Amino acid sequence: MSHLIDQTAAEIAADVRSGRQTAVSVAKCALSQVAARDPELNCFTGGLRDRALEMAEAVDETIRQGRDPGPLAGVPFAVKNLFDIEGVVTLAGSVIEAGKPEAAANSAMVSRMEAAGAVLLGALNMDEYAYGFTTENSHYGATRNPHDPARIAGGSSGGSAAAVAAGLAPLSLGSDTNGSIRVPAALCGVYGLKPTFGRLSRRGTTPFVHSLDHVGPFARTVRDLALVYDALQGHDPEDPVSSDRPVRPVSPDLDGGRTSLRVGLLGGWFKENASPEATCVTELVASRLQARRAELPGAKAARAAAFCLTGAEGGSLHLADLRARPGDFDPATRDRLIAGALQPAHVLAKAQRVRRWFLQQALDLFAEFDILLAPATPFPATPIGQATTQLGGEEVSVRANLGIYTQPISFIGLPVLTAPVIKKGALPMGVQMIAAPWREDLLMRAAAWLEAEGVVGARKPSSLPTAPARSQAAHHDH
Amino acid sequence: MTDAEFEAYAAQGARLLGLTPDAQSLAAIVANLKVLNALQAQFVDLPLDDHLDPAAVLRL
Repeated sequence: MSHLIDQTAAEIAADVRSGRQTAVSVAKCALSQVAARDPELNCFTGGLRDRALEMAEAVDETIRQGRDPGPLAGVPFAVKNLFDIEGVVTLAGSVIEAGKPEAAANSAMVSRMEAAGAVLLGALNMDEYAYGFTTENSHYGATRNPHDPARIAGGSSGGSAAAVAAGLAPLSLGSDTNGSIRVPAALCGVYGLKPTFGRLSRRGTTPFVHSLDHVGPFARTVRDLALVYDALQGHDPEDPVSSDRPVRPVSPDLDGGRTSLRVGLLGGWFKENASPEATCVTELVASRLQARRAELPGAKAARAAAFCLTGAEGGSLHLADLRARPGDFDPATRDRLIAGALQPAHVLAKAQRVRRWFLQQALDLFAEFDILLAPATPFPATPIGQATTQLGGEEVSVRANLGIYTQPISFIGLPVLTAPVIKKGALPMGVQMIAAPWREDLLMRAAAWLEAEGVVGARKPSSLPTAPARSQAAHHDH
Repeated sequence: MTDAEFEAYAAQGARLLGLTPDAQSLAAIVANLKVLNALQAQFVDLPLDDHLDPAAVLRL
């Protein structure tokens, strides 16, 4: 195997299942690439070499015994370090958590990945307690963007996005409270899925904002994204928001094409403040999907309410540590959490009511549209350490503005697939494809069509060797 | 609210919560409160049906 990025998860699983390569050989390849590349990129906060090789050996043994190793047989993956891994301390990007006991059990998502035959390589960097959009972690360092290591990977699941973009793993898991899957996926040029609120279990993850937290996967192809999402689905009675709706596999929908899909391009809030790059990639996708203009009233208010609710719930969650160990927080995290906790109660009650109202606005719009389009971020990845950027002629905070288009959507729990738009020579940018609750199938279908048409797709970072013919995606630069 | 009112609100609020921020932290808290205050203004006066559930966790 030359480089892990040259094979998709689906190809690896097929090879391992058929005996063309062993899970152990794949794991060794992945581990060697992590060792070679991660010192520069800083995606990982902890490797699990022995565990990975043991798991891979178990997959190979399952095959030797003639049993089914699962749909992700031998596929390496890694998880944001807020997912519990049995025997490992769950950092959640903090030093406070570093002193706590090792996790007694795997998170639900790690268990499901391993039950599907996937091989866990390690835990990935993130913003402290997931409160950020840049993964410039003051305790564990910044994760670097594989397309330009001087720039941010986005956050808070920056390690998850960058690891997949760099080919250190074909799949990873992250969490998304206000955009923490969608923002780094866009900036690192990979696919990210934030499923419907309640679709994937959050059991065994460190919470940030209970009423907004989602978990979901990253991948470099739509087929891989569908494959991992299907492996992760299923009701979990131990997550109080987990839905008991039947599992709805999306892999069978990938070849459905775009015919009959009614697509809307969101204007208003989702057009204001966008950089020319963001407007360009969103309109490119819109034109290929023959989108009509669409308006989602109340997005600005929803974004503001999500912002305030995040501070309040997050501040409340961490109040004991804010009292006892204020010096162990990143000061920027600490002071935002405290300010959030100081908000008047009536503001938070109103924010929740805005949420119900805004959800209804969106549901009404889905009577006319199947998929809505919006930029994932207002601008591409900024240099690490740069606090502000120019937007609409104004100097604005990078951290406060990267999520302006993602926050209103996660606020109401809609499923969103962020797809990397191919634009030659430019930094990666992504588009949000948004559907009605539980309609991830439509998102996968549209994304698969766009990928086949060469409109979206994960580009290999220029610093990596050229792929052999077998695994070159059918992507065409515009 | 004036700067002095924000500072007083932050200091008294922190005390009520049992927090003891230093001067630098208090200044950052005030800056964050101003951001939140500006955002709150974007939705607190939105006229909504009184029957909308204020304690709603998403039910989809």
